[in-house]
Amino acid sequence: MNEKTIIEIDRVTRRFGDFAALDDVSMLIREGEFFSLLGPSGCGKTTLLRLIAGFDEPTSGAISIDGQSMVGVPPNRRPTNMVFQNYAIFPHLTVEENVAYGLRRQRLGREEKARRVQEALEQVDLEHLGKRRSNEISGGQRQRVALARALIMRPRVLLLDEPLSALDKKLREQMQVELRRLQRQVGITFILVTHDQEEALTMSDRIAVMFNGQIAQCDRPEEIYQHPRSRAVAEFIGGMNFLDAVLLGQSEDSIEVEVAGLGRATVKKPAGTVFNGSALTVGARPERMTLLIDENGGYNRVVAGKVVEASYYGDMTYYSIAIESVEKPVVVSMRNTIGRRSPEPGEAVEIGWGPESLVPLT
Amino acid sequence: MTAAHEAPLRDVAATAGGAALGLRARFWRSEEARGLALISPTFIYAILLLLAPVLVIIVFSFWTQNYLDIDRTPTLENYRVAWSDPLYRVLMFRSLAVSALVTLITVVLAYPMAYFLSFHVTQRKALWLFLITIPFWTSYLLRVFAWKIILGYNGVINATLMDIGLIAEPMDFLLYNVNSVVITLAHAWAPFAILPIFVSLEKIDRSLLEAATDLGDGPVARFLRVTLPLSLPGVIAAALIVFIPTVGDYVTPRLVGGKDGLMISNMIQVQFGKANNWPLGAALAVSTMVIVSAASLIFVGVMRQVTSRFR
Amino acid sequence: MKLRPLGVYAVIYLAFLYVPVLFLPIFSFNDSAIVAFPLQGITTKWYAELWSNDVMQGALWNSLKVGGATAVVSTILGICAARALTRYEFRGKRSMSALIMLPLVLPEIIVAVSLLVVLLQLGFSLSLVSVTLGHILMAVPFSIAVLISNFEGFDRSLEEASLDLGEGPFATFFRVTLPIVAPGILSSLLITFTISLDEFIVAFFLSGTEPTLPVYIWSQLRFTARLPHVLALGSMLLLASFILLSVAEVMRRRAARRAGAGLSGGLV
Repeated sequence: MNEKTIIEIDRVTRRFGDFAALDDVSMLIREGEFFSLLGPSGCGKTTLLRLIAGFDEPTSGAISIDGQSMVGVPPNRRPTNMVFQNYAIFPHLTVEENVAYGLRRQRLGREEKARRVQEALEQVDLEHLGKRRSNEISGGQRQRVALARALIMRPRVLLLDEPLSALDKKLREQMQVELRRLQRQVGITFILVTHDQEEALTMSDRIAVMFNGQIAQCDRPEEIYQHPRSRAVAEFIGGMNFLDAVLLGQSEDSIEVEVAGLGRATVKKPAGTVFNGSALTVGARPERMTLLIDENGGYNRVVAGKVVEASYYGDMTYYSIAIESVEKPVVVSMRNTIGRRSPEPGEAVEIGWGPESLVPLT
Repeated sequence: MTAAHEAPLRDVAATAGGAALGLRARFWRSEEARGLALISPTFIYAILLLLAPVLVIIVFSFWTQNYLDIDRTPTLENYRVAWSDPLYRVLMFRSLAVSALVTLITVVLAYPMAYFLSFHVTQRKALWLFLITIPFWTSYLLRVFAWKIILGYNGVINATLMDIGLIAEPMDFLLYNVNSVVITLAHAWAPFAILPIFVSLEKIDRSLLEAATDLGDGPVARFLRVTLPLSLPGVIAAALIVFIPTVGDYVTPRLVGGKDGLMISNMIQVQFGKANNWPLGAALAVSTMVIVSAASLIFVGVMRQVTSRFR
Repeated sequence: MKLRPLGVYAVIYLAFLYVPVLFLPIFSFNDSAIVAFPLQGITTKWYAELWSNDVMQGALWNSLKVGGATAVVSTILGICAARALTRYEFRGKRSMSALIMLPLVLPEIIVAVSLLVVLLQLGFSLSLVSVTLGHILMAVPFSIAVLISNFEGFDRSLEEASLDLGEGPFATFFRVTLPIVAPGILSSLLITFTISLDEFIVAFFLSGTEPTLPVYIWSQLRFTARLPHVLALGSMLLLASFILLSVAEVMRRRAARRAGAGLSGGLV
């Protein structure tokens, strides 16, 4: 992947009356990357997408695409195309006519046009449905038509507004894989708006997590998951234990903390962040700890507890473990591999952990 | 540029090449302004040809007719006459009574039909709806006229019965009385009552009915405790849609009402026509509007009380 | 279908709606000026006599002119209002639409009388123009009712999709908006035309010396001898309304399908 910037968002604010849907947002999106805007509804992610597409203008700030300022440029003059949330398939046209819609202005010959349409339909596996009327196809097929219709325009950036939210789980998972494959194949920048963290994690090269019109963290999926900057990000993505801690000291890239119930540890911190005050919260993902059952797996720190509850998830089981002097039980997940004994509620167990289990949060 | 423009301007000036939009320019680009601009032709038409004329009628009702010209000194004399003269009082009461009766009949007859359409018709629902809406559109005059040829002195019923020898003389009680007015109006306005009730029945979430059954209600209890209360807004709408226009109906009493079946609008027409007393006609018209509005408001209020008791 | 009591009731109800009106066409073919069963024989002479009647032809022509003008103007006003009501939020929306829709429930005589007074006070003489002005007022609410269901189903993102695919606002209107709403607009034209064609009260008060068809029929009701002609004319008017409305209904359904809405919309 190259590092060339395709979209620059420079201090963009969008107000609706007194409400700031976007509040001084700046970021760079690189050419050819699969970029996701992730956040709960009302966080401003769709507003940002619509500003990029040109359906709305920022109250202040500017967006440029490929080095060109987009201020005052209408959507039909922008090198972006969109897959709408409800797909916006023209009901009065056939599948082929829908896909060919944007080609009219390119003044192609009839055969060239037909070839391009066929090519676009093949790209999304719909070559056999071209003659169908748009009200005769299923939801998943409508989504593919919307994709083909946008891709045939060969945009610099493809914008996807919650494209999978209307599909059922099975189809959604299948389309996630397919969208990712398609993006690699055509090599253009995809910007995906979604509220589904799993979707964002599996598909994206980078994710911007948004809350209340601001970007909380913009990073690679592993970074977002393993090293969330704030409690809000950690809570929104996956499950996490939050533990009170006392700050004992900090160096360039780590801090020394006393964690309630667990004890003392030196924890890595993101470069450049400084923790003020003496109290902070540290987070621990359930799978970054383990239960020491019948053996000790090389964890250098051990804390004793008692099983309160076990939730069975098929491949995993989540155990809530009560620890002395910690108010809420700590959740630890275990893979249900062959031969592993499952401790019963009430049973005394030991939790194995290490400094790398912990993430300091702001 | 006024001071009010400065704040947004500063924001915009910071953007690269941002067009400076003043507050006024912003307003005209806003959704609200576009909506207002778009509805204004229709709204202005309604103001000029409906609101203004009705206001003029109200003003007229406070003036006095002096043979060919109008005395513009404000007076309540027209209202005194309109509300005290037995002739007008009788017509007004008859209009209200006839309308109330017609409303009751049409709504009661329409409810089962709307219920049937909503709950029992599964195929060809659109066709059923279409069949019911056709009479809704076709000439009102002709629908009323049809009853005249059915009930008339030389009408279908009399002539046919005489022909087959069941009666020797035409029955004259069929036409030209209040009954014929009620029958004709009930027929002419029947379709109007079905649609609002149908819509309210369609809106009822079917799982509510299943929930009621699940909680132990039989069909009758379920209807009385769930379906009926939830469809009451439609019943209220249907009643108003029939009641308000029929009070002021002109054609039916004139064609099939005879002397005893005349209603208030026939008198209004006389005042604006032969009697040439516009202010009195205006006072009668305004009085009708006021009384109908008051009756409607009372009806809606009472129905709200009834509805709230269901909850 | 099983014979349920409610089904039987529905059929009787429909019969009650239709049978009285059907007497008009039935007796219009009766070879006698007296309306009574049994029929005295089938004839089309009333229709023939009617057709050669100059006054009737004048009235027919008047009705067509008024109906055409009413249909076009009220549909244009209806499009503006329906679009504004479905697409935009603005202050006073409810009260504005209440005033515009008021003619649906206002007794027609109030509309007729108040227009009469204002037009005469302003020095206008009564003519087909005054009838048309009144009919537009009455027809606009129906036009809006038909168009709103059409526009409501219209998904705004369709227009955005067109812009996104490179078309300007003008091309978008002709390639997306118009094809989707055209059947609804046609339906509105037909329905408002039919309303004007059948409307009596406003025409009666405002028509002056040029009668429309219903006003002409009214003037003929006094003469017993003219009854068969009235029956023939009324039958043709019913037939015309029926055809116009059927086409309007087909158009409305097509509009609903295009806009992706259900069939239960429309007048309902």
